[in-house]
Amino acid sequence: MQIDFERSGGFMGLRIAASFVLDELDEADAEEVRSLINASNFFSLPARIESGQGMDQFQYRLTVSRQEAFDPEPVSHTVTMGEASAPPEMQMLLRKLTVLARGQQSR
Amino acid sequence: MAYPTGPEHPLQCILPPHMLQNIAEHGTAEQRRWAVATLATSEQFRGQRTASAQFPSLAFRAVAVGKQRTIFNADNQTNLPGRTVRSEGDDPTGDAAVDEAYDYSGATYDLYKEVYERNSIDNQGLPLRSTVHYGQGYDNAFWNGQQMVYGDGDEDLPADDRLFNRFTLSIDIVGHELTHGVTQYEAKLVYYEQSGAMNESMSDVFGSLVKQRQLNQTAADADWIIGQGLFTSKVNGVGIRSMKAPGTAYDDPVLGKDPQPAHMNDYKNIDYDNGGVHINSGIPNHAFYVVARELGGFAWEKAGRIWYVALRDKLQAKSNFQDSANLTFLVAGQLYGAGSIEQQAVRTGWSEVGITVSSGNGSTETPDLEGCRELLIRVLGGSR
Ligand SMILES: [Zn+2]
Repeated sequence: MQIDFERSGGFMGLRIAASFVLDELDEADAEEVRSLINASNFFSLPARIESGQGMDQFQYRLTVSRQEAFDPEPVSHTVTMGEASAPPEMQMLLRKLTVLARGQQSR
Repeated sequence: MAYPTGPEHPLQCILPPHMLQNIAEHGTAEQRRWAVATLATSEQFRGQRTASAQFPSLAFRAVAVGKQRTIFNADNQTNLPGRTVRSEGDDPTGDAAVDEAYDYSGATYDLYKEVYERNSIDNQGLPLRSTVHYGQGYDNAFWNGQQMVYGDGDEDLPADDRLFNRFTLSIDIVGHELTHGVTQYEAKLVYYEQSGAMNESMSDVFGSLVKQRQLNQTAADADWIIGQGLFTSKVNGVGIRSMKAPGTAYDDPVLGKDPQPAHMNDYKNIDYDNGGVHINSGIPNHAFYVVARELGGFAWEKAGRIWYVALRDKLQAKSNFQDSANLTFLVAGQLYGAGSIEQQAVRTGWSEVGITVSSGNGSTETPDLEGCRELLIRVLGGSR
């Protein structure tokens, strides 16, 4: 499973982007990310979740690509959303990925 | 505020005060609001006393409430607003974020009130609500449509790894967030592409003016940096944005380089950040800086007034950079005269970022009488 993560906007307008191959992460991180993806029903979310009112909130774009044993062919889904509009499980996933992305950036 | 807009705008349509007063007293709610707004506007132009003093019957408009600040603490959670920790008139708490949010939202209120005669975000005395200590490792500040919210930066990391300080540290960030509220009640600039970058730029402009006024700085003295002090010493940068030299605020191995353009030639068509609202704002930011530089003195007095009146009365939801150039030019002509040095400075400002002002002379000497008549019929007839 691969994850392409992008956070943009916010007061600073700093864009953070990172790609993760799940198998290459620490086992605990990989497991946490995998379970949050499942809990958020990521593949059933609409491609765009409108942010609603508010300024300087973060914008996220998340793409998850997978080909598990039960997938006949590769599956890929992208969701774009504002921080306030993301569902609760997604908030946790975004927070986890932000931490991982920050780690990757400062390396 | 639902001012009539376009050529029939009240600025160009000065009715005798007694007629306005009559409308204000006997009209429908919508008519009253329009009449009072027009009185307030024209009174400002002529430098007279407040409309409510001239017309005691309009005292309902002069909301008695002044500054009304409440600071909440989210205790590093994300529930808003959190618990109340300081209300208007309370002593300092000793918590820097709480006290900065209180003092700086007060300084922003004062700029709007004392310089532009605006009573808070909605011009009706809306209480100013701010939440600090929002989230964990939350390197951001925002306006959520109702209130201001500030994170602590990356307080969750070991001190040596931190890149950001708390977001209340810079007074201009507070002015920036509060101004998003003003824009929400006035021009309602759509937060996408150029109108969104104008929205961002308005917040930077008035954020910077709050700081300059607090420091008693002229345009020449000011650093024109947004978010000075927000970076820790780990970051190679002076702040988040530079209005004087967009694109030069930081250049850092971890954060990258300040992406802001200073000229239309470098405008960035991008699909993130709502179409680059925090990036292309460098262009109108720099235009404002040039206007202030050209005029000299305190930037909030003339350049700021032109921008404020444009935001309040002229800009619309979908105004792009060209519209904003034309409208600030128009306002400069109305406030200071066609061909005045102020109006010329506005032309120069936009020209230096690659935008050529195109409009009439913006003179108040030739009101659009036809538009005026139409407006009267519409207002008095109460038609929609
Ligand atoms: Zn903003």
